[in-house]
Amino acid sequence: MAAFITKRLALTVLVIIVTSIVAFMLVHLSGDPAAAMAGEGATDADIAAVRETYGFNRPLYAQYLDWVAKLLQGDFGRSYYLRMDVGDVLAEHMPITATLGALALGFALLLSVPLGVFAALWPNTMIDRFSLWLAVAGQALPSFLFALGLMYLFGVYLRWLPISGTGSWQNYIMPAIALGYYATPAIMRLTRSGMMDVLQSDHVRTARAYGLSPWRVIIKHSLRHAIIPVVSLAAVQLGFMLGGSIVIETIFSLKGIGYLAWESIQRADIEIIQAILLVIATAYALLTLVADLLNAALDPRIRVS
Amino acid sequence: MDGPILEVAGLRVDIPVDGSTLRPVRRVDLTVGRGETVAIVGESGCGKSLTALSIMGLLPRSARPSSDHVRLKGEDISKASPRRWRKLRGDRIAMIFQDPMTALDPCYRIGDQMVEILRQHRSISRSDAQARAVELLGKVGVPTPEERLSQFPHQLSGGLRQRVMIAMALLCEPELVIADEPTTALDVTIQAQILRLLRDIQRETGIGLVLITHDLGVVAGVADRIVVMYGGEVVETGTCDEVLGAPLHPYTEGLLRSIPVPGETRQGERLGFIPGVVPRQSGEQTSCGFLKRCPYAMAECAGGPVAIRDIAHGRGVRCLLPPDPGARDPGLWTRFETEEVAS
Repeated sequence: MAAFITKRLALTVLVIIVTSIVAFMLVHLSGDPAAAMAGEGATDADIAAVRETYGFNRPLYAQYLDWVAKLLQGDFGRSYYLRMDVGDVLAEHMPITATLGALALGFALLLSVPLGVFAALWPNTMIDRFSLWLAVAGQALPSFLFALGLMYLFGVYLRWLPISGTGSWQNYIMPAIALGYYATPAIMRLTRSGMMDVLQSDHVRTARAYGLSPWRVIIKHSLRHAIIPVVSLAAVQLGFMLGGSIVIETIFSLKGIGYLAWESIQRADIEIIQAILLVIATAYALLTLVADLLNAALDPRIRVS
Repeated sequence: MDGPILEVAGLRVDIPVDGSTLRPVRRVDLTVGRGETVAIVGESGCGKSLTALSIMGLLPRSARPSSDHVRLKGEDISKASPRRWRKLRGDRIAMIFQDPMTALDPCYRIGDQMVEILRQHRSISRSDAQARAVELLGKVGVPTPEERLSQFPHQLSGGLRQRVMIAMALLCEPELVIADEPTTALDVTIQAQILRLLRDIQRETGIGLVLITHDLGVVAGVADRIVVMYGGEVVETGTCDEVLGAPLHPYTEGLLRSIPVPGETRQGERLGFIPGVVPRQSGEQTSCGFLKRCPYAMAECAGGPVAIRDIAHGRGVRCLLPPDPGARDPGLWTRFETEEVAS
């Protein structure tokens, strides 16, 4: 197990290094950062001055190494537009997105895993059809439309929940549902097909042949196998939610990472953009690592040779 | 001695498929006495595994079993509730499966799987259950049983896993053990070990053992009685010596003729085979089920389903021919031309 963790960890570090290079290159090659900073109507002299001040005239590798060296000391750089340390800006926005993502994934799992299990247990029945319908609807409905529908029903019509802002925990309910619902179909269908396969397998027949109680057979000897690919999928979905919830964050005025990214791209605030890219990529890499470790914990064949 | 452990009468299994009905098991009668090993022999598709699964109540959901009765020590279990079934399975009846590679749950340690079964059926402490597991693993010849408890199935060889399965079957001291092709997935050298183990265990514990196999070689040294199945029906029953020594049903005869005998079959000599293939079992029978492949077929055979005839106590055959194998031509099976396979 120690060897397995070490190997996965090394791989994760490698992925983070590569993505940091890619993030850096993307931002620096997609336009002249000095020109963007100097703003419209700036003279060539102004741009040259900006280039000099911020060190954009140095070779790229030198700028990159400088950036990484500062990162390793916990210094994400400084946003020239907000005139704040990027680290502080991230610290302000990150918890909002993380809370939203965790709640959304929790909602998605709580809804889709039981539905997937029941659909597999009783295929072609009402519950199977209902969950299929839910999956198709979830896949087909744009998330902004679903979010607006939620807002109208619970915010405007019933007045149960606040429509926007980040004041209290209630603010997170609707965004989490809207964001999580989008991840529901894939998880549910994967759970269902995985369960259908496992329920046919020999070791489940053995468990039944030895008189184990039905829930033991279903949870312990079936779901544990069927959930393994779901763990990997959920990790990717959570990574996606952390980085890609721009639409939902905007609709509900949650000032999270997605919102910040969108704003920063408009302002060409490259220090923030590359920091966000790095943070999201790191989150992805770490989530994949966590998923691998969870799977190894679930299936001894992965960890014990 | 009290009555038989298992009595199956008139068992049939129907599987509705797209408007028609498959009848993989048509009528099976089976009796297993205390301390007796009964082998069910037949080709794949003859209904032997489905017979076993219906005795266990483990048929696939689409299957519709029916029977006059299936009695386990006098109790009719064919109409038992799911709850009652769960009490019986693993406790009073246990099953050993064909493929030990997949029959154990790869996610749990050997010890945990054995303890789980024991604690499902007995109120027993974890450590006592573990002690019992070690005891049984030792009994079935698993070396260093204490260490095996903490191993996962994939860390064991096929032969060892099958031994673990046998130990699992014996955990709750069942009255009946059904072994469905227990050696088919194993190397030949391991097969003999496992069969000997099953026989020794059976003699020692006095359980009833149902051994399902397609391999007559497996049967010879182990079974007391043989039940030959063909096309979902029992076609011949008798003691091991009777059936193997003087087969009465043409199908049994054909099966035996197709096995090379070391020392007797000479190089280049033709082996016999049964022409044709196992027919798909659907609809009602209008003739003897073996009619199309039988070299002795007579006009009467097409007249209707053939009933089983009792020749002697425990000796029966489902055939209209006179029960005298000496009157038949034993070389017949080797003279078929391969073209007849297609017919």
